[in-house]
Amino acid sequence: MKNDIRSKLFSATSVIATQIPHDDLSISRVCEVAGIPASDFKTTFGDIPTYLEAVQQDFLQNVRARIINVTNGATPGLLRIKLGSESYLAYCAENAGVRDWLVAARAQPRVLRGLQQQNQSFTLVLGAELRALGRYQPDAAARLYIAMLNEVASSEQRSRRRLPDLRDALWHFLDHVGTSLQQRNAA
Amino acid sequence: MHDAEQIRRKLSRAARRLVDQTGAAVTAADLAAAATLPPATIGQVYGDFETLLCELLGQMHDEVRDLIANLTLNMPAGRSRLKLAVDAYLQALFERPALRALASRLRFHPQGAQLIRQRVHGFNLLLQMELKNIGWRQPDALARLATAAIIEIGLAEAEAGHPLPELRETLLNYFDTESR
Repeated sequence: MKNDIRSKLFSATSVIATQIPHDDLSISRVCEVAGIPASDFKTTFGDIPTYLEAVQQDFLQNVRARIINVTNGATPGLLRIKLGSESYLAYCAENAGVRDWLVAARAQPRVLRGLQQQNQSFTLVLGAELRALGRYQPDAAARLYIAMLNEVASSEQRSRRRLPDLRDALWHFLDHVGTSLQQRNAA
Repeated sequence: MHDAEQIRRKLSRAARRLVDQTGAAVTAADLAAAATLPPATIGQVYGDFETLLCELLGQMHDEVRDLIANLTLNMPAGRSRLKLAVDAYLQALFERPALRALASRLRFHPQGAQLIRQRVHGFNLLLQMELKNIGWRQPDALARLATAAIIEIGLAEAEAGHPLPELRETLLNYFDTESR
């Protein structure tokens, strides 16, 4: 029963998020849009903060699955990183309403922690890719790249459209970070 | 000087002293005691305690901005000036735990969040100008991304409790790459 309610709510979350801004979130409004009784919501999640934590975990799980699916079979290298980054940005854009909620919910420590853990995971994976490419200080480069990728996602979310100049700047950073003459000499 | 202005200055100085000494966990009662004023004075002068803290945060940010401006004032435009400004900004943030703590406390407060956005935007414009000066292609786009990277470095250094040269070098050396 609980799992049915979770599935029903998660599959409707994108639609709910386009209709209810974060500041107006309430159990009654979510249940009204999702078409479920408030008692079911309370039994499954208890309250809105717990629901948002679950929404975040679902969002992160789906974005990871998307990236894995899109990059599956791709040759390691810069193109695979760009492919993964593009799919991350695409998923964020397709679920902009949900991401609006999650950005607003960062004041909740556990939501903030979930976001930090996701960034750490992405940084670890990307650091390994950049190390394999022979980049200087790959872990540092990966950490900065993930911060920049999130800035592109946030900027595109605010403007609700792709921002090619920002993406070009991101690809330029990816193509060149850890390759400058001083860094090669230091290495 | 009017009494109200004197009281405002007294509160502001006491708040700065307290935040510098004890961090951002300061309370209105602490401040009133430190300023030897009745607690209700804060509300009368500032409206509420958070507004006073926001004003203080703005002052601390402006001090960092002025420090960078003075450091780079007589340098010719170029990569060296850009890199010095970024490194000095990171160092200034690292050496001001009270500023970081106050920003962290106020980042979800509407007025605090707006103030932080304004200061970040100001820094972003400064970076844009420097990148334009060195002929960077799409300086506005890189300025936005570099600002995000600088915030990330600042957070990482605060968490680590010491500067992280690898992160700083990685960003600063990237500015040496060809942008065309």
